[in-house]
Amino acid sequence: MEFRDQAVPPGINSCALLITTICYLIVMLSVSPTGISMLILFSIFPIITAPICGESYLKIMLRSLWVLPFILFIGIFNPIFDKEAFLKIGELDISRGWVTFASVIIRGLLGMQAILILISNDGFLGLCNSLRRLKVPDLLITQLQFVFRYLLVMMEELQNMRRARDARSYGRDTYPLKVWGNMMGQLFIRTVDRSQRIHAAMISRGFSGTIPTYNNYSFGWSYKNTLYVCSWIAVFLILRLINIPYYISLVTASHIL
Amino acid sequence: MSHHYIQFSNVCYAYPNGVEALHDVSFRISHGEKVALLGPNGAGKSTLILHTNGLLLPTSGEVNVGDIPVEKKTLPLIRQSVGLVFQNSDDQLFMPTVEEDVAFGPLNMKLPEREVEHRIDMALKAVGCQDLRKRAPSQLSGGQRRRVSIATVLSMEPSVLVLDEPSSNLDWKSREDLIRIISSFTHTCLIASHDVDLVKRVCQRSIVLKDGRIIADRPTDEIFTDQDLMRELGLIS
Amino acid sequence: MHLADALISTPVALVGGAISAALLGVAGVKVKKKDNSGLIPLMGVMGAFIFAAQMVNFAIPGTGSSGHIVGGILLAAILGPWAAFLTLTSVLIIQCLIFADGGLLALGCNILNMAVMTTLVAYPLVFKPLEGTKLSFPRLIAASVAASVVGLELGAFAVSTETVISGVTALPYKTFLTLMLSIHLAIGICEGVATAAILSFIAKNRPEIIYKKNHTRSIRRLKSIIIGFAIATVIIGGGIAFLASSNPDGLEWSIQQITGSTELSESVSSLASGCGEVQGNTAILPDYENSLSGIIGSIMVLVFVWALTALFIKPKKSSQ
Repeated sequence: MEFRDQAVPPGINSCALLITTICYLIVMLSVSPTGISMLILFSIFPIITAPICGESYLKIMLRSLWVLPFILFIGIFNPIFDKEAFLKIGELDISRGWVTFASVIIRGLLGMQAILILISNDGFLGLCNSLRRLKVPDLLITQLQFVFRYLLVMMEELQNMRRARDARSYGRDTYPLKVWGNMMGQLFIRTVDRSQRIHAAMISRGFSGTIPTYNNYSFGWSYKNTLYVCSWIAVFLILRLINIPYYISLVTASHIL
Repeated sequence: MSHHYIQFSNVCYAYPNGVEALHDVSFRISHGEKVALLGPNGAGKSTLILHTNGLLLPTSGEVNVGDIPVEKKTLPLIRQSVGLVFQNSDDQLFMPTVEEDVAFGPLNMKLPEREVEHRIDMALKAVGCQDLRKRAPSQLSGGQRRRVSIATVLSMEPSVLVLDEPSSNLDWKSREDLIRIISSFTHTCLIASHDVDLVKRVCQRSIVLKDGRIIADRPTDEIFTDQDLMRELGLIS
Repeated sequence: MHLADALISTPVALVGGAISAALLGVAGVKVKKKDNSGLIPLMGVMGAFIFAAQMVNFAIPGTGSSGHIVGGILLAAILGPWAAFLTLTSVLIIQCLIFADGGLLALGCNILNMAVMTTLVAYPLVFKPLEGTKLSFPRLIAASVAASVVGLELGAFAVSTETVISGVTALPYKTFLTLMLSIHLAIGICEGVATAAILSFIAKNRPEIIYKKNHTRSIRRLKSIIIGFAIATVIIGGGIAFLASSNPDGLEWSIQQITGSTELSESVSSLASGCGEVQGNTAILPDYENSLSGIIGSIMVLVFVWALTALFIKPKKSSQ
């Protein structure tokens, strides 16, 4: 769970980072599936942003590997179905399938890194507050905060139920459907009861249908934030529209290879 | 003339399914008094507590807080003057951070921003949790959660505090802290508890409830020396 | 079924996002903002319940495998379609941000595929009519299974379509679709049976939780929902058709030649000429050897930038 101590100010204004991240994804994901070099260059955003947000890039990078199984499943079909020759390394022909496979992986990693950085900057709750600033409806924000608040509570309740059951049978992760249904049904009923107790607690503190928002967050959007967002967008557009890899390749080809 | 008392007059309550939970309950708690509510599980303590701020309204009889009768139209007023703290802190603390939770009541009262700030400071200070302001409830220990729960109603500046099992599931140190804090309050208090030690140290008077009826209403010392009554309550064997 | 950012292109993500945002707006109106019946805390803890329920697997009868629930139909049966939609959306957002399930830009599509298809399409069109107005276990089971299958199959259809339109996978559409639909037929049946198991437990022990709603009214409302969905389907279908036609080679991006333009101006004009074209190839790799050196060079640039940031920006440790 990503809990960030709310007393520590975020590295970057969390609204600014959210806007920048979305722009980043929009531009990055529009790169053609064969444009690996261009995609690789797009990782300068996470590399530079990660340390500012309080995480080392290496850690973000390693954690983003988590996404691999999901994308490998679909990506692996590319080399199977698309065998057209595309790239030559020495004597070795590499098909376009493998190139696009690589690009799917890079896209996946970069997308995941962007999310990880966004969360490590100001935590989930900080992000909720910036969503509220960006005029996302209160109802959805309240809902997100509620789910986040009761996630651990529910997990704990579930653990207690499982312990009680497993003590009587034996430890296992998978339950027969009938047992599972009864267990979840019970948990469900407890959940409904809990919601009624919470509602009672809300009412006794004067709740009348709308959750009030307490705004103590120094939001302080300054020209610096505008500058921050604009300069990154400029960088993304340059990376996307100017064929930098081509110029780099000229340099590397003439000097190194 | 004081507003700080609770009076139950011949209160009966039956749940919609017909189960009668309270039967002809009458008592009066006067200004500044700390009264314990004792009784075995299922005696109707929770039901009684829900009547103090109008979460349940009596089937017959009357509840008064100060000079105000507890009715549909007085509820906003009643809920400001009676602070109800539920047993499970996870139900009491539903907002993402401590300060938002403590601010919930005052904001519902539509107080101005500066007053809300003042109330948060005051309430957290009263329970010794000023430095937990920005924390999420799940980052707090059980004792801290309980104290913050109390702060969430203190911020509404109620004149009457009603606490349901305030010391359950607490370790010795947190419990001592809590007893000290409750003792320091000048509010009129009604405390439902099984915790003999807490009741003895905090409450001068105890009301004993069984099967929805009051079976004793005496000074705490007397109650705890009455062997028959204790046996009936299952507090001794 | 969570789409990662890797598998989706910008235009598809944006269309998915727009549709989901619009429906969320409608949900905000339908689930009254000022509601004091306890729906707000109920929706909140139900979202958390879905997470908890997903932690425990059930054995799929007759096979060695196990599965977990997605929960769309279950939520809709308890909360009604719009509140369930909001709840499931919040679950998807949290899965994306905290549990790294599904991409941020793909979020709109994920909401569409999983939340909309189950709570707003399968529930009112399949579950509601089958469920009947009186408690009957066979009907409850039939309704749960049918609605779950329909919801998940629609979702699988949407996932395959979005992925293939995005042009990231080389899988032929037909193969992909067949694969996804058959996998999700199985998953849908399990989901349905599991949903029925929970619902019957609740119906047995606390029937008022499910059956307190006024059914005659909800059936009348059903009509307006159906009409709403007919319109939504046309919009969604139209959006997809528009994308497909504005980018006809989207399905077979392989047609795009590597020897495309090297000129900046052409790239710019291609960006301006419609979102479908943004996809179009601007990666210009003059020849094979050079492109390899391009990749190597790019990696070197990166390592350099990384080294620089490591030198100059110290990660300030957040205390948690």
